[in-house]
Amino acid sequence: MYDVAVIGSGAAGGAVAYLLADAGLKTALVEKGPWMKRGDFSKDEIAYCRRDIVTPNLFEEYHVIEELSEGRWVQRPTYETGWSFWNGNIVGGSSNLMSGMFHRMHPDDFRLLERYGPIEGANIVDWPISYEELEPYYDRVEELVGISGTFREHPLEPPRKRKKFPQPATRENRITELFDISCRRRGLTPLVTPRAILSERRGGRNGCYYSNFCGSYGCSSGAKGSSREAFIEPALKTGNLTLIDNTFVKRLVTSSKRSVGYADAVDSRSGREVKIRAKLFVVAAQAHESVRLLFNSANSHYPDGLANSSGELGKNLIFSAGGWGEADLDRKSLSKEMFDAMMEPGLFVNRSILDWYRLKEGGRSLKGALVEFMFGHQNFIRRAAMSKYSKDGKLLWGEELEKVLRYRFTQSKRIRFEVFNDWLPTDECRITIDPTRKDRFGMPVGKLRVNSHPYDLKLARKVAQKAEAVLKEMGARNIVTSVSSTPPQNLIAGGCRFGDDPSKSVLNRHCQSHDIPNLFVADASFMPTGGSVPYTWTIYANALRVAEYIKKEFSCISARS
Amino acid sequence: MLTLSTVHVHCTIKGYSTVMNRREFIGTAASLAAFGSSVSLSAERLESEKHESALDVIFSVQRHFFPKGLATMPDADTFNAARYTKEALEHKSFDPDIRAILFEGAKRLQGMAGESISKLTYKKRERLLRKFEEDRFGSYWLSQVMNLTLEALLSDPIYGGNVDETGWRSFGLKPGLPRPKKRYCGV
Repeated sequence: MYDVAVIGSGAAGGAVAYLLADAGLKTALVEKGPWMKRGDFSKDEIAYCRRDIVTPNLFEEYHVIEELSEGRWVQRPTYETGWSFWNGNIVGGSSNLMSGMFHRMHPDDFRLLERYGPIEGANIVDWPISYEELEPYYDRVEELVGISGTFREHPLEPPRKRKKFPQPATRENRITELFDISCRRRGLTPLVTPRAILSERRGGRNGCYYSNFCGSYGCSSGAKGSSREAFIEPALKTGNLTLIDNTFVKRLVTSSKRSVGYADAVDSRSGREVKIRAKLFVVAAQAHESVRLLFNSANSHYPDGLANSSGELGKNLIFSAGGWGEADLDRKSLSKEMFDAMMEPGLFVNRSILDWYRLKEGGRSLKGALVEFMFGHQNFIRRAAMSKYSKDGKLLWGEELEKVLRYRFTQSKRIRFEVFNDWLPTDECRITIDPTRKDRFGMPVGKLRVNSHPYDLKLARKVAQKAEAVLKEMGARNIVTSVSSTPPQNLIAGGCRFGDDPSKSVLNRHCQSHDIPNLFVADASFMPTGGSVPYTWTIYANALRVAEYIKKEFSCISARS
Repeated sequence: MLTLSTVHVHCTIKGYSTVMNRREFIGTAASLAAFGSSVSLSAERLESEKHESALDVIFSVQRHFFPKGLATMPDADTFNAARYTKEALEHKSFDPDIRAILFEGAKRLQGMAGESISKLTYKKRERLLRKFEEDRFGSYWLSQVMNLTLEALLSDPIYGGNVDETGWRSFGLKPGLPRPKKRYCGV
């Protein structure tokens, strides 16, 4: 029997497993997918971006997505649309494939209701913990993951103990000179985006080698601060961690009303059934899959799903999103010198704008958004396929296609912005299970009803217009902007809200089930609101906070279970 | 996790969107019954006569998309679009619904042409494809054939296309390193 079984090896699972194994607890880390190591990764666009190689085949494992279409809810299994909600089912999870643009949540984000007031139709609640309680863990993540960056003072930058990041910023494309000038002309403060990417060698991890293909790909130098590189590999060296890959946990089985006894699992290659016994369980399978596991673990004590005495399980699903825009920078936009420098492959843009994180409207403060700037993804096939239509929607081929591709590949680069504002929690964005549809393991699949609050779209449009103005100032052309209620399937949170009131939350402030003391949920599902930044730094930080609590209370919890 | 840009990669480039439902095409294509369930369509059956003729139609369209004599880009035979396409369709990771649609579309296009597409003059073939594009199914089919052909042009040569890196070289593209040693990560 293990002391602790952690289910899911992504950002949260890896961080929890690291800290507990380091503390001497015999820890099992269970991952549905295979263990791909640093040397296994390549920049293979076909495998990583165009086929389901590091995610399950949708005809075998899928979700049902419920969207509002012309006033009615329409359900579609993802094998019908190809819109996969899997995100890197390998050891280390989707953190292997992230771009590593890291931001802390702002202190306001922990007090959204108190600070900005209610919004009709949105289930906003304040977090049971404050920024100050999470700050030491944000700081610890900087050190353990190895965050690179250049700190610049900004009135909306969350307070931090130390001004310097552990590593200097990664190298930047010279287009940042134009970006910075353009921002200043518009009275904005350009900030260097902290990255979970080492700029210099550290321990067994090499610095970034600027491959030009970062997001969507595994890192071959170890520079990217994935859960696998930053936490799992070091945890294995303690001798206290057992990594159980290719193993899918179907349900958690309770030994009493107040204790989980074992995980009912299956070898995803051979189909062999296995039981994983532990004194304490930490679920970290990514928000929607963690919720699904708890629903699928319903029993006579908990007929509506494990840890669901509140009835809140699966509710208030949120995403990290807002909108995006892209434009061309080309010879017409830039001096020859700047154009040549821009076309140099590999170097980063690393810029963000925080100035719009708090907005004023009619004399009152509104919660705003972070905007991240980057080059459009460098994938060759993707870029070509995005260029295959004429302005009037005809497919291009032959000479016309050649002309467009020549422009795309040799005469221009796409500059892109992404708006991150709150995805307000509502009754119409949630996870349940579909008892009529089952995956290849015979388990009901997760059903996601996805919709955004109209306020989110309004705010995103407002901020996107401001971001567009920066691109115009840079001289960029052919600006395209998109703001919609279509969520990003990889930046997902909520469904297991934490809170101090057991009747209104699934987890307590330590991300421990109100109902079952030896059950914790450590991934982003705990988040009642998500802030206006990508989640990953917060997931890492909170997972360390949860693990610290488990470490301190383990003897007590395990004795009672 | 990933950023929105990677979401964009996955949602738009595979030809997927929340609006597009491939089963709508399959549901209306009664003749797909000839292929059995799209899910169970097996790679071995690509060898059958029916699929060989469908593949020939797809190859002819690829040659039309990438003809000989372009200033920069290689023609479809030079970067071996046919080999790439056949082997991609045979791999288990290829979406079975899209595979079924590709075969159905080839059959419909052949039916519209009335004679071998490869034997049509360039002008006649151009008119045929533009006519086919006017139909929603035809437009989607052409888009999928183009996606496959662009994959053949710009993927790592390990997959059988982009012979001698002609696709990359024609645009001065430098591939990311390390390059794959096995197709589909060895899966």
